[in-house]
Amino acid sequence: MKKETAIRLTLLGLAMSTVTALAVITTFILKEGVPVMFRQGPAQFLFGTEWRPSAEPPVFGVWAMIVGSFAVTAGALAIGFPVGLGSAIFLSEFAPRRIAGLLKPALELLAGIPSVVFGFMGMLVLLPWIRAHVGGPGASVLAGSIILGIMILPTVISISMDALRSVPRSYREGSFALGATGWQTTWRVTLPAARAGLVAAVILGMGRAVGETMAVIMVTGNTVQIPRSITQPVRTLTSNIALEMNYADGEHREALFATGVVLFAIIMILNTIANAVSRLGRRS
Amino acid sequence: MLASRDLQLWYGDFHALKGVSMTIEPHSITAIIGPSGCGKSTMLRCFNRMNDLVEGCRVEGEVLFEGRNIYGRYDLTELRKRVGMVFQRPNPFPLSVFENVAYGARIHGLAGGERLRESVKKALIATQLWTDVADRLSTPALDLSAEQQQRLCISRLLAVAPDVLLMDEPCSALDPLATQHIEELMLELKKDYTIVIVTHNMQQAARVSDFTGFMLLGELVEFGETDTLFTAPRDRRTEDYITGRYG
Repeated sequence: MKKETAIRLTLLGLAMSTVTALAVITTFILKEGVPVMFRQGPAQFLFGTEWRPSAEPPVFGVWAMIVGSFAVTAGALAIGFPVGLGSAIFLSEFAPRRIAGLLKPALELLAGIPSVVFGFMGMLVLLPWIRAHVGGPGASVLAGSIILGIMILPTVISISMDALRSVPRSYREGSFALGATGWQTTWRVTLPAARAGLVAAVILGMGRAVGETMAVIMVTGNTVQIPRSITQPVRTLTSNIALEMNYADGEHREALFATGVVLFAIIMILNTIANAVSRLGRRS
Repeated sequence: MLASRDLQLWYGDFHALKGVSMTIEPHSITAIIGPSGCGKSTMLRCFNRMNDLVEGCRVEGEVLFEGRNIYGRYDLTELRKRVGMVFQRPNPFPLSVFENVAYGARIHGLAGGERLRESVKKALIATQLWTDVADRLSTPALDLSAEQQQRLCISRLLAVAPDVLLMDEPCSALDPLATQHIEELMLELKKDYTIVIVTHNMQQAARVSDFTGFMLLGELVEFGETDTLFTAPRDRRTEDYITGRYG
């Protein structure tokens, strides 16, 4: 009995470590990041377009980075979601088992490639190509979108596939039995039934894209500016932290933590939406 | 109307149907009975080629629909439009009541607008569901009771104007009262449609059907008029089954 209790307490402690780690991280970045936001004025910090850490006095406005993050994320979704959903539909609804068995491991491998490798491929192949065929300096929103679009594919595909597979077989049978074709069944029955899961796939793909750092630094150019076209370089929130943390101190360092607070808030909002949507889906 | 000729079916290595020949008369109810795993559902699913969806399924022999072999060159969409199916568990789509019934019409481009509304109404009246749902056509179909859902699935079928209704244990998920209602509905529908029903409930077969086939281990042991089969079975195995000494 005593042993049982000891084991239970140990396991409880282990389970709590996740929560503890989250609490520590949250407290830390809030404590480090929030004061500088208020010194700058929250509105000035969030919506200011100037980021000049070495000016006197320094100016910290992250609006350009927020726009940058959302621009590459939106681009990544525009590329990654159609491709990912199409792949998921093919794999779960149409692919013969042999082909699905071939694609699934390839997908897992893609998920396992380190992001620096994606960034490297982007620098070597994608940037020169964009420079030559689309225009601009190469490093740009477009480059970031394409690389991130590929990087979110495993997330989008596996979550979409889960969503499609959780649609009861009886729905498909009912549709086929009425003389519907495979595509009619997918389009009119399976996809609507999987709607909530598909929204979750979009949002989690978004979270993945917003949070990605290394590959983005390598292909987006990192200029602090609000892009006026997709061929212009941008800097994202994550890049901002990673690029400057090395040498930042004092208020500059705090401002980078504040950037982290903004990022944290965005990720939390996305996760909350994803949870709410999947709860909604389960109810209906 | 429908007939199978020496029908053989394998799921991989498993020989599920061993030379079944039966003829389904128009405007009648034919029941297929037998213990679990005897192949009765598989047999039913051969009539609209639903077994095609099962990987590793192989069929030999013929199923004739109006004299044409549906396992030859036959348009599956056309076949399933004319030979519809009701499943064991009511399986309305997660759409509104209206959209469920309109589904078939929409995919076959049969009707739109006012005509679509009329055909939905007609299909719901035919299954006596109309009075229950007339004022809530836009509510989710999954909010209906099990019996209403099964009626809805039948309405959904009638809306594409089939000739044959295949019913795979349509009452097994329903309570006795709902079962009685669906049986009454079947007798009503018999006037306009040809019905084949698979059931593990012998009383049900005896109550509603005109012809009965008894299957065992993939073979059709006996086939004949229901009254004869239940009162004077020719085969010993049939007699054992209907008197409860088997299965």
